[in-house]
This record gives sequence, structure tokens and C-alpha cells, in this order.
Amino acid sequence: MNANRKADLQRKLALAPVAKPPAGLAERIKTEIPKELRFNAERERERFSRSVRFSMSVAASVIVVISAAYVALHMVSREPTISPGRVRRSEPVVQRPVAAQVPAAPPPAVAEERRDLQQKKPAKLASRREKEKGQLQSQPVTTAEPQVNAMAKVPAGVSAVAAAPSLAMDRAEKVVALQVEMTTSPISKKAMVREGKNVYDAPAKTDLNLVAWKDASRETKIEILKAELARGADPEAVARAARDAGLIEFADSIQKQH
Amino acid sequence: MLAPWNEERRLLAAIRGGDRSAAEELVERTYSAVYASLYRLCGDGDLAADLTQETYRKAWEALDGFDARSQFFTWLYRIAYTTFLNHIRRPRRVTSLDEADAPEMRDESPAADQLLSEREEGERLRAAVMTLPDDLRFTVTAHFWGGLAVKEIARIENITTVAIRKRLHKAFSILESALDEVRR
Repeated sequence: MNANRKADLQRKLALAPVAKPPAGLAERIKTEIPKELRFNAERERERFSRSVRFSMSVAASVIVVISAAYVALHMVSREPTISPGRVRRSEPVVQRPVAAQVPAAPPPAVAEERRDLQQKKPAKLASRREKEKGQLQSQPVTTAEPQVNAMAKVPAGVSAVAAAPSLAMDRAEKVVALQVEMTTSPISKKAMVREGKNVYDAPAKTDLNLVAWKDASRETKIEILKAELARGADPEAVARAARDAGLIEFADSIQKQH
Repeated sequence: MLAPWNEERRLLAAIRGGDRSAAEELVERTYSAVYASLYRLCGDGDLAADLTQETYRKAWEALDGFDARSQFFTWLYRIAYTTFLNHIRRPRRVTSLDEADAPEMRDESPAADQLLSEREEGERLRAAVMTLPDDLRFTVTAHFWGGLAVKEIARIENITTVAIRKRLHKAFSILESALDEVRR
């Protein structure tokens, strides 16, 4: 379409006849103007309040949904920390300071456990121990005290270099000793073995020594009681046993949970 | 013809406040343009007058909904155009666009031959405009017969001015083809 044709068409369209309105048309239109032209305030107010109400309900729904999601997330994330996590964090591990306080003489029960474990610990560990002992003997010792007692008590005169391997060994043994323990559960009255975080019924034949419940380590007691709970033991009885064992916080957490 | 923007707003505010004389003033200022637009659309003086009355009747009813985003006349033209479309869609009162008797036009052309020729050509053009698709037809009639600016049409149609210009361009092409066919 060329510009001339377009211009011609535009001219024709624009030049369409302009009609004059018939006489009296304005009067006819004016007579039809409604008597009440005022806005219906009530209707306007109703419309406005309806829209505000709708907006408010939408906003409230959104808030409720977000709050519910937040609470649900909070509950879900809190759930696992109550039982094992929180107990583990809130109750200090007793054995760590023991390892650090090397100069103190080990209690007889621990010494006994250590001896037992020494018998059945892996050959690698034993050979390493022998090697270290050999190293200690070959090193010049500034004291006349025998090295055998070094792991129980470090004399003031012993050099730090000489004492270090013994301390490391002592710590390793301690950790191993405290990670495997067999005792009688006060709930099921069965002999149970705790190996780290695993707890199981003691096998018929075992080299482990049965430790009395009252002498069992705190960790062992907690793990065994947890295992009892998992097996469906009465939470009240478990809480009572925990309380008797001095695990007050653990007992409280059980009661809170159940 | 049309109330300036501020004057229009003042009149509308007065109408909303219940001032009947303001409504009459607004009618006085706009009815000729509404009538002229409708006359160009339908090509019938009596029908255009009836449709103009109907347009104002609808306008008073819908005045609550006028949000003043566009000019009052633009809004009124939309009502007039819809009223016209409703009229031609009514089954019993369809106005034939191919009518042999052209409406009386108060055209002041001196020569009778020329008058006849222009009248025929004008009628052909009107008939061709009426065959356009609805969006193009509204755009062409609002711009050329309603006297609305492209910007105003764009505002009332909720599209850009570029889109309106494209519509016009497309309409010209269709109209040219239609008129060429008639000439042959």
C-alpha cells in the first residue's frame, strides 16, 4: 500500500459526512437523567469493606500457613536433639578428664579392665606397645623409677619426651576400654554389651568381664538405658533407673519425652 | 465540543455530588459528538438519535464504574460503540449495510453528480469499514469517526499506541482491497 493510497483513504474516512443531531435530542437525553445521581454510599462502603475483608483473610491465611510451617520445621528439627544428642551434649564425658589427668593412679576397676583388654586387644596394638616400650628403654632415663609404672604415675623427674608415648597409649587403651563394656541391665536384668553406640545382649561365651551396673561407665549406662527404651521398656522404669544411676538429666529428658 | 480535562473533572465531581445541572451541562457538551459518531456508524439519523439516547441511559447507570483513567468522552464513545454493536446484532432490527437507499446526508456539495458520487463512495467506505474485524473496526471508527486520539484509544483498549497504529495500518490494507473489489 503506497502512501498516496493511504492518505486518500484517511482523507475519505475523515471526510465522512458530519450529521447534526435532530432538534430536541438534547432535551430527550436530559429528561432521562436519573433523579438520584448521588453515589450509593452504603453500596460503596459495602464493596470496600468486602474487598478489605477479603485482603485481610488472604493475609491471615498466608501468616497462618507460614507460622504452621515454621512450627512444624522447628518441631521436626528439635525432635532428634532431645534424646541422644542433647543428652550427649549436656552430660560431660567423664572419661576425657581421666585421660588428661594422667598423674592420678587409675582406679582398680579400670586397671582391671585394662588388663583384660590388653589380653584381647589386636596384635597390632600389642606389637606397637612393645615397640614403644623398647624405645623407652633404649632412651636415656633420668630417673631410677621403673618404666612399668609410668602409665599409672608420671614422676616429676621423667622428661616429657619419654612420658608422651606412654600417655598416648594410656589414652588409647582408656578409650578402647570404655567403648566396650558388659554389664547387667537394671531393666531387663540381662547381661548387655555396649560397644561404642551399639548395645546388644551379651553372647553366651565372651571374654569380656561382667561389670556391675553401679560400676559401669556413665556412657554405658546411658546407651543401655536407651536400648531398653528402644526395645519398648517402660519409660518410667527406665527414668527411675537412670535417676538411681545419677543420670538426672537423662532421666528428665525421658520423662519429658514420654 | 468536548469539555477540557479539568472542566470535565469538575462536572463529574458535581454529578457525583448529585448536581443535576452538571449532568445536563455534560450532556450539552458531548451529545453532538456522540450522535455524529453513531450516525457515521449506522448511517441512519433516526437510529443514531435513538442510539445516542440509549448510550446516555447506559452511561448514567454505569457512571459509578467510571474510574476517570480516560476522558469521559472516550468512555462514552465506548458505550456508544457497544450500543451500536448490540443494535446490529439484534436479529429483528439488523440494519443492512448493503442497502440501496443511502441515508440522508447533510452534505453541502454543489453538484448533484458529485454529491451522488461522494455519497455512494462514502456508503461503500462505511460498508467496508463494517466488514472489518471487530478490533480494527473499533479502532478505525473511534479514530476517524469518533475523533479519539490514538493515545486515548490505546488507553481504553489497554494496549500501546504502536499497537493501535499497527491496527490502523492493517485496517487500511483491508479497506483498500475491499474498495478495489467493489470498483471492479
